[in-house]
Amino acid sequence: MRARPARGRQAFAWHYLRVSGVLIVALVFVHLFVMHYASLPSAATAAFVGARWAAAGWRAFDWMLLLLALTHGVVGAHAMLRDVARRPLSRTALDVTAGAVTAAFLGLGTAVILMAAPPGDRGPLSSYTWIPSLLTGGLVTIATAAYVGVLAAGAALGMRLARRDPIGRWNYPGQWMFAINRTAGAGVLGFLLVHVLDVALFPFAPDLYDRTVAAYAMPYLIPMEAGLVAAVVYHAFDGLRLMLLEALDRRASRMAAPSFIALVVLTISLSLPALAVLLGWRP
Amino acid sequence: MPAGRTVSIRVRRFDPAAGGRRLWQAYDVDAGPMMSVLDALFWVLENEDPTLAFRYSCRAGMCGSCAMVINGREGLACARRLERLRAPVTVEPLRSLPVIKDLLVDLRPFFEKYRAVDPFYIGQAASVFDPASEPAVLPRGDAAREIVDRQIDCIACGACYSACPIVSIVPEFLGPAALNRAYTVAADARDAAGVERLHRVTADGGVFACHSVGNCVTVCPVGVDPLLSIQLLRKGAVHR
Amino acid sequence: MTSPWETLRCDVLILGSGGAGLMAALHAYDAEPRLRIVVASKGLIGKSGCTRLMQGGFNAALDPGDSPERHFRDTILGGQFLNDQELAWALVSGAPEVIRRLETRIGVFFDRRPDGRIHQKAFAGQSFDRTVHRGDLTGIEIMSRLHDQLFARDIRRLDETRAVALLHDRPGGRVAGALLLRQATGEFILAQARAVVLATGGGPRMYTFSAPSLEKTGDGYAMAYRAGCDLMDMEMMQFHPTGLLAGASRLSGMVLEEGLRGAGAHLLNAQGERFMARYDPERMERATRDVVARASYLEIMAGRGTAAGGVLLDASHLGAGFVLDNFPGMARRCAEVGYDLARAPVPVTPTAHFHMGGVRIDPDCRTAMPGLLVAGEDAGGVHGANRLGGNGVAESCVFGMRAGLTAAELCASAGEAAPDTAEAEAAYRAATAPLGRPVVSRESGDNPFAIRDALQRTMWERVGLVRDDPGLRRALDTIGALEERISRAGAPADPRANLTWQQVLDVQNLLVAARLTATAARYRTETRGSHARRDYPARDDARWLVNIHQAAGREPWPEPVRLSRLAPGDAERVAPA
Ligand SMILES: Cc1cc2nc3c(=O)[nH]c(=O)nc-3n(C[C@H](O)[C@H](O)[C@H](O)COP(=O)(O)OP(=O)(O)OC[C@H]3O[C@@H](n4cnc5c(N)ncnc54)[C@H](O)[C@@H]3O)c2cc1C
Ligand code: HEM
Ligand code: HEM
Ligand code: SF4
Ligand code: F3S
Ligand code: FES
Repeated sequence: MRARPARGRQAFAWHYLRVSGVLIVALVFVHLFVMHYASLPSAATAAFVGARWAAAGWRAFDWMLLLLALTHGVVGAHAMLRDVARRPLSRTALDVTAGAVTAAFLGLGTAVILMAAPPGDRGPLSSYTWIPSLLTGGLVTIATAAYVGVLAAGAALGMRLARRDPIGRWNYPGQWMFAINRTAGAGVLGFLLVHVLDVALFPFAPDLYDRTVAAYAMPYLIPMEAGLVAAVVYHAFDGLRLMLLEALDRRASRMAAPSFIALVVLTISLSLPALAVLLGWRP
Repeated sequence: MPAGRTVSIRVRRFDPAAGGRRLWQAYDVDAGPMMSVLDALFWVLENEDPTLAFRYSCRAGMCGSCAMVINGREGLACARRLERLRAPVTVEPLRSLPVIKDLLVDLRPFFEKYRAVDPFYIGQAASVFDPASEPAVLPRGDAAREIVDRQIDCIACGACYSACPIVSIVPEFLGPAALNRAYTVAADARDAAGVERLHRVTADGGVFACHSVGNCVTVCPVGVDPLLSIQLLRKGAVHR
Repeated sequence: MTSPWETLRCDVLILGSGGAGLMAALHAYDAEPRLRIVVASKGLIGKSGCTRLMQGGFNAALDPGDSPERHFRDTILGGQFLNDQELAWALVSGAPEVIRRLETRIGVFFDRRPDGRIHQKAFAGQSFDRTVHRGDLTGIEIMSRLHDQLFARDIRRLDETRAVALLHDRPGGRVAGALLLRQATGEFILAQARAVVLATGGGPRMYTFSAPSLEKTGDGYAMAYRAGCDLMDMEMMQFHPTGLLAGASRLSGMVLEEGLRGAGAHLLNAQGERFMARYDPERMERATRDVVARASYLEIMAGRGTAAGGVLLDASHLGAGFVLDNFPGMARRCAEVGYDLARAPVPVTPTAHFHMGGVRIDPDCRTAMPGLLVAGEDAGGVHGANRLGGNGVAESCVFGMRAGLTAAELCASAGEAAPDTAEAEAAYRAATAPLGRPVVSRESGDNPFAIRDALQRTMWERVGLVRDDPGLRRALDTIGALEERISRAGAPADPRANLTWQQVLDVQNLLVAARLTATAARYRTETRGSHARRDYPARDDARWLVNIHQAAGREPWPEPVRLSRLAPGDAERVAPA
């Protein structure tokens, strides 16, 4: 007999993240390829979307992506925060927020994909011209936070190294893999939430949608966009590495340092083309 | 003995009497050949500072009493040679455990969690035990046995517990050492326990709280792989 | 005055958590689960002590081709007829049962033969391969499992709590408890118990090179001696031939296990000769420990040692693969200090390993002092003049178990008796006296670490592997002077986690054990087993088939060995079980 009791919130999150993670790999990479390698984020105009969504297949594809990425991200973020939220009240608040975010964004995204009428020039929301500014502002804020965060973390580490102070657990490759994996997962979820909102402009205000998308050409945002690709690539391959490690029953975890190096190399080499495209290079 | 080389070590001190402040104190140790970090601490105690506190017993890497954080990595003080460490050598108490004084930590939380998994082998009841019986015959080649065999060498030093980030994030996480021990008894064909132990280690705070960070494997001074045990428990790869 | 201690009442108080202490705790509990059992240990419970350091293994006659009788004969021949034969018989007849208990009740996993049965390997001085083991680090497995079993039982643990003194009841006729000290907080505990089991593991740390764990400082001998017990055979100090030499590290003296020589490793002097040919051409490196250790010592003294003052242990001809497979722990230990055991000779020195002497007990671990049981290395008599490798843990486990069962029995009959608070008061005052006195530097006088070093040097040079009367006399003088000095030694005032204070208490005890050892060594004017006298080089059965006993306030006295089962000459006669 194989004893297999697995109960509890953490067991659910553990299993769900792995199942949805596997299912999502192809979807995410195809999406990224279309948007980042074959095209430019800022070229994904309403006309472009309209052409794609003319095919029901792409709409089904996007909906699957929405469903899985959103739930995977929310389950992951919820698991992370639930571990640190100790008080019953904050735990309830967290549960409610997670449910509400999933419902709202899944609802909105589904509606958008279903409507997906070929756009005219304007839509019902076209007079609210502050919306693109708000979304652009949001993107700029996210980018700024990311840049400042990376710089501050690097500076703190550098200072400790210079003073020869202990650097906590950063001596361990496992620690880096874990921390980057989490940060990347959380960051991509943050982006996804903004992303669902901006795509929602497409049926309601194609002109404003185009204006939002144009913002992706801002040089200030380009490092963040490249970072986003890197984050997805890193998180995906690290997730696959974990699943492989867990499946193998080997002492594969001894390979911490080599796997970390492999992950970094893979991430850089897969994101470089995207960066090149962003910087204006065309195949 | 070749004339002493001087090695400076920086010790993270904590004195509850001095209002619980944590500070760094540096010492220049007369380092003879082959001296370990533990030897260096003794040198400080005996020559420089009679108030220094740390823990030790076997001085040979067998008892797991002297685990601490050396140059940022968990390890046994008696098994890390000064010659092989970058100077100044920094020495800190284990993380995630309350400090009693200097390098001496309170291991109770560690052992409470260890206890929580029923780490003991459950054999025949005393009433059934026949002192004249033969010990079990365990044929070669049993897969579970082979894994158990490699994983029972844990000396409960707490290094993995200290190195695991999840232990410090999730207070109820049982930690790698306890879960490793749970696997070794759960997968032992001789063990007579039911599934209660498995229920306990797969509930919240058990194996599913582990994010496979793997620091535990990197630091284990005796080559145990707690993550492997955790994986096997997650998969329920325990035959009963 | 408000009392300076907290009080604790229990039925069985166990001092020490090595094999003996934990076996006693588990078996007392299993015999009577309603007993209130407390284990107090100077180091962490289950992690401190020598049982954990045990490498080679555990002797038990398990094979149909072997028998307790053969094991008994080996033990007595090894002990050169000085053993208490009833204790030795209890050891050999109890060992197989204990192995079964360890396997089926405690969960210890021993190495197997290809057919799945327990594997037994060769050890020196044995007529049969009977040493049960788990790799070359058997002690860790035994101790981890014993420790984990505590969690299955309602047994109170007092980690890092050292016993300071045994306490009598008011009239003084029996032992009624002990004064304990929590080292982390500096708090004292006055523990009252119906039965006290002393299992602090003795230990010869009063030598420059010694093998035991660092916290073992003869506390049990010193406490028992002060409490009026009778100690025997204290001159019998076993030196292990192959203590690792590791430069300035405390690792020096740690043992490279006997199984290496059992498997055919050679001992070489600096000239590369297998010098055992000179001392025991028949058994060579497989001779008993006393013979091999003394041979190495004499080689070193004759100037044929290496520059580091040792000889060389060479296992390289056995094949690197064989050594790494069979002695991975030893290979790792050597690699740590830069030696390659599998491919090159490793420098070794004889090292003080095990004290055969100790408190006189009967086969149920009773002492002359009602209420006090002694088991393990603290007890004397089991091994005579020399212990066989593999008989030490067997002793701890067999007698630990017996002590636990006896304690449970005692509790059924013995009433409560309160420890004498005046005695506790005196012990408390003596123990706390060093606190707050200035800690002077090593160079300038009464520094506990300097006193320990001086004691170790004296013991090594004059009460070591080869002894003579002038040297022993000088050693006793030095010990007297050091006793003076330690009485003035100081420690920082804060009692919490105060290692210097603990060291003062340790050295006080080491000095008691050292004095007992040197006194008995001077008394025995013959050479036997581990006790070698340059001035009396022959074994003298006519005069010296006696045990030397010592007790506080009394001159040492001899008592003839009772040859109840086997006498020199009739090596064939073994009484039935
Ligand atoms: C390196 C080494 C290798 C060995 N290898 C073998 C072998 O292969 N085979 C074999 O048969 N024997 C071997 N021996 C001998 C064997 O280990 C001992 O004979 C045996 O373990 C002693 O057990 P014990 O329970 O009496 O004491 P220990 O296991 O030493 O335990 C003593 C306990 O008492 C505690 N203690 C000390 N002082 C106090 C105090 N004042 N108050 C409270 N607690 C105190 C200690 O902390 C410890 O917990 C070896 C010994 C050494 C040192
Ligand atoms: C900067 C990089 C990205 C660009 C430019 C981009 C662009 C687009 C565009 C143009 C659409 C509209 C539909 C289509 O044409 O298929 C879309 C939809 C979608 N994208 Fe992205 N995408 C990017 C990154 C991502 C990432 C990283 C994810 C995954 C987390 C993601 C998830 C989705 C989802 C779920 C939809 C459907 C949205 C909805 O229905 O509301 N996108 N994206
Ligand atoms: C592309 C394929 C992906 C794979 C294979 C994958 C895999 C995984 C895995 C295995 C985990 C669990 C990690 C752990 O246990 O520590 C995880 C966690 C997580 N993922 Fe993904 N993921 C993918 C995409 C995404 C996307 C697109 C998002 C964002 C929307 C995301 C957000 C998260 C978050 C927030 C976590 C929780 C992080 C943590 O607990 O450490 N993932 N992912
Ligand atoms: S698994 Fe290794 S690191 Fe963890 S407690 Fe055991 S011996 Fe120490
Ligand atoms: S470090 Fe911690 S998260 Fe898991 S793999 Fe080891 S227990
Ligand atoms: S002192 Fe025992 S492991 Fe270091």
